[in-house]
Amino acid sequence: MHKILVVDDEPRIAKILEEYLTRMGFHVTKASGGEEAIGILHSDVKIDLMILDMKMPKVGGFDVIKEMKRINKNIPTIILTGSIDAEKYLVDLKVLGYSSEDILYKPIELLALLDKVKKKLRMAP
Amino acid sequence: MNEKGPKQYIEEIECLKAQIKAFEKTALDRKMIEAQTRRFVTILMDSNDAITVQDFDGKIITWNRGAEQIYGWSEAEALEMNIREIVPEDKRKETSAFIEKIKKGELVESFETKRITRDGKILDIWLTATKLVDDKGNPTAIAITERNITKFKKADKVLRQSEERYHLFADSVADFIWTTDMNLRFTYLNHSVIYLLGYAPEELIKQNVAVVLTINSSRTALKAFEEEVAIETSGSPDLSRTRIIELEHVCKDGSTVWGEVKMTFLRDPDKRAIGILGVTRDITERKKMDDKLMQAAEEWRVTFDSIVDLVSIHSTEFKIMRVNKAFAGAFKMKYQEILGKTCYELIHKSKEPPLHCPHRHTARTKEPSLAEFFEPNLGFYLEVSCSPIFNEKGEAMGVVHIAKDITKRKELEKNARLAQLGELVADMAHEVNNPLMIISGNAELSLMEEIQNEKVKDHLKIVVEECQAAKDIIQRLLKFSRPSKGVVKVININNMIEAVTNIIAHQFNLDNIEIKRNYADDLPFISVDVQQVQEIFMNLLNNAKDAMPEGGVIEITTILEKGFVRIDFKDTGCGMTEEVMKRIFEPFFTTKEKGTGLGLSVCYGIVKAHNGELKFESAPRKGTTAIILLPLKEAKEDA
Repeated sequence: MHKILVVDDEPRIAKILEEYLTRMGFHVTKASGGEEAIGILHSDVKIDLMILDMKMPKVGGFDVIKEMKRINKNIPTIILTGSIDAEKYLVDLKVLGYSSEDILYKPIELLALLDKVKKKLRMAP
Repeated sequence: MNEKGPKQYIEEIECLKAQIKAFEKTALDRKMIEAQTRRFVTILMDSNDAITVQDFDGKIITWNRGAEQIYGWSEAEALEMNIREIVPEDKRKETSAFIEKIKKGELVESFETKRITRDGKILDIWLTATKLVDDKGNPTAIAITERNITKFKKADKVLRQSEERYHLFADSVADFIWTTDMNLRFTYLNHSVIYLLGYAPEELIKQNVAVVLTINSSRTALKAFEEEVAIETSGSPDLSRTRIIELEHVCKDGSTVWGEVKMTFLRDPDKRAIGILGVTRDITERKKMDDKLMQAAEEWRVTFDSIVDLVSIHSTEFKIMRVNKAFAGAFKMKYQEILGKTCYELIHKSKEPPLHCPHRHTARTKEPSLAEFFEPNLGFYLEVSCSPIFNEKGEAMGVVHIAKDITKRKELEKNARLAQLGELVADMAHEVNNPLMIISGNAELSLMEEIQNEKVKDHLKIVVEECQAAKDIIQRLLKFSRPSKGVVKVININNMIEAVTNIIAHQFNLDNIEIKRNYADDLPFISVDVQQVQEIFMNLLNNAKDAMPEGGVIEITTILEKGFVRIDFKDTGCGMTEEVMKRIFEPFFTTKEKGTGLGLSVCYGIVKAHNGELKFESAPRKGTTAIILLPLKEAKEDA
């Protein structure tokens, strides 16, 4: 079973994603912010996919990605954003190997998310 | 003693006879002489002048009535007197001297002297003494004619005193006082001439006035003189008139001074002009001050005209008293066309000042005030500051207006406001998208449950759909706040417009809207974000359609204009009021029932991102023209 890390400071969104992805047969771990996510990345917990909100207080999504790259982990990531903030980082994200295909704009349709998740995990749609 | 013979008697008788004859003749002569003498004596005795005869000792021999009248002694009394009695002490020597002179041979002696009257008065006397001689020429007596000149002397003295006083007065004033004859030669100059011109009065006396004037001032003076002379000979001139001219004088040392010269004619008893009396006052200082004032006034005028703001000075009743160059230029009017008009008729074309008028406020409160407004007659935004003008007594004399064209500032303010709004929108988008996601996500999760009630399912589906619709609106808002650059291509704008009109052609046809094309053939290619610019065209065409619910014409014109490609969308629709025009680019401002109020603000953002311009010309019921200016960037068209 694939293990997915959901990072969002808005607990109700994290809960929706957890509930949905669990229902769809994934194992979900939640982090309520950037710091917690980095903690998990540093741990031995094996993560197959990360769904990461961009705009979070203190440690944002981009900080999490940078830290992940720094410690040489390369977990497939779907970036969530509530605004076009992600575009501010688009260039930087591209340098780190991401594209606009990796970004989903809130409010997302859960089916669209599932589609992206399956693609990232190279699962059959 | 010798005895006399008869012959001797006869001879004596004959002799006596002859003598008697001679005597008779002499008697006749004597009579004549006596008559003649009486006549003379009568004349002499009755003369008003005192005529007296005295011997060389001074004894009075003759004393006429004139002498009686002048001196007060009767003839009888006088004949008992010596002449010395009527001579004052200090004149006795003089009297002795002239008596001696006459004795020695002088015939006539005339001089002025003094005599005493009976009652002790001293008289001024003009005296003429004549020597009287006998048959043999020996001096016998002195005849004296005396005329009482006391009165003349007094009058003369008064006159002389008054003249002296006058000269003293003339000399004591600082002004240069002078007289000339009719040949303009000085006949009198007071002492002040030395202070004014450095000449002593006697140096200039009989000199022509031109000596002390510059050539130009000589001409001025001569001209004035000729004019005045002409007035003299014409009709009935005002004899006491004066004339004031300013003349530049040349001093003895060659320097020049300005004098204000006040002149009048001197006249003889027949009132004929016989000369000029003038008073010259040194006005060099005043002239300097005048020059300074003129210079100051000129500086002020130049400064006034150099101000690029529209400056005008008004009466408290709004009348325009003075405007600067920029003001006249803004209205393309001449000064005389502006002055005297009220500002409200000139600027606002109204019969009374508008409500926002700051002058109204200033006139009422005597306090400065400021207003900003759009003036359609000028076509720009104005900031008008009004300040009251007070005179020395603190009374309000008028109001000075300074009007600035603040269109650019307004534009910047608007841009700043839009930028602020953009940030607000971006923040808001984030805040709204999270709850939307929660709503939509929960609805989706609910739909996964076993739901028997189809209605509930439908409701949940609507929730999910509408959340996505809300997301679209927010995406547009975000686009407006930060228009993202899409794919930039080099294109021919005509082709691009055609691509858009092709999409809408069918619908517009149904709505009875005709599209006329007026494309320039030789437009250079420009580089644009095709998708974004197409969105602009779509928006503008839809707005035009919405403005013509009954149908109409949209005329699309493209033209090259000063480094820009200009695209006009001109409709025959309902047009816009000024109020609407002002707010047209404000996000969420809409006049349509179902509009979001974002279309034009998005268009505006896109055009600005292209370094272009978007503007509108419109009036109610006269249709609207949307004008887009996109900067040129010559290039080959992309495939």
